[in-house]
Amino acid sequence: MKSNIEMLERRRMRFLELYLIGFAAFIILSVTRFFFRLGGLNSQPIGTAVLFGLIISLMFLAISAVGYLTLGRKIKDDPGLKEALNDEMIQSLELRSWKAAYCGAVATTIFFAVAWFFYPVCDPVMIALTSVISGAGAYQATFYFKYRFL
Amino acid sequence: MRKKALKNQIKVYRAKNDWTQEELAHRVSVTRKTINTIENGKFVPSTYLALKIAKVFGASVEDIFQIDDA
Repeated sequence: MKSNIEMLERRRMRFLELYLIGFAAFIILSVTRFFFRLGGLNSQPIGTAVLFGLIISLMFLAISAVGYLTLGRKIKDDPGLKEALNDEMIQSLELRSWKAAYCGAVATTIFFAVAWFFYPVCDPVMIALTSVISGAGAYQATFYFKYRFL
Repeated sequence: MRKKALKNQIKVYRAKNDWTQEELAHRVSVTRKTINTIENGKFVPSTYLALKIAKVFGASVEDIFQIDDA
């Protein structure tokens, strides 16, 4: 049981690391695609490559999120594991991470809103998706780094 | 305003009982990381957790935790 808790905790952090790698790739490629679109580069081979990378990063995000949620369910099903792996420090970090999630989503929306003043924004679905994923990514990143360096 | 600080004797009591952080974490149903952060004064536990820690050591909360006046 003891080593099981440690093992699950390590696995949870691995899934978070994978998620954050996918998140970083998604944000970079998403912003690149935004500017490529303004420059008319999205139909060029380089634009297709960015789109391909974006799809891979989304798959990466989905796989790590599913893994994280599956692990969360496994923890939830065992009262002992649930108590240990969702202890008060984890709960405290989760609360702080929500604040970062809000700020992340708002900052991304403001970024695109400001960009809209200078460029014609023509992909509102992508902007909305980026804002939502930014919020989720900010949550996970805050949780991960606060946990890691606490 | 001064930052909240709590001294603790967890390491001393762990040594007395020959317990690892993992052993103590298991006894109070938290992760080893939580015990580590409390022991190093980086995380201030709730009253409930402080009482649980004191109980497993067979000591009072005041024996384990003290307000850092320094």
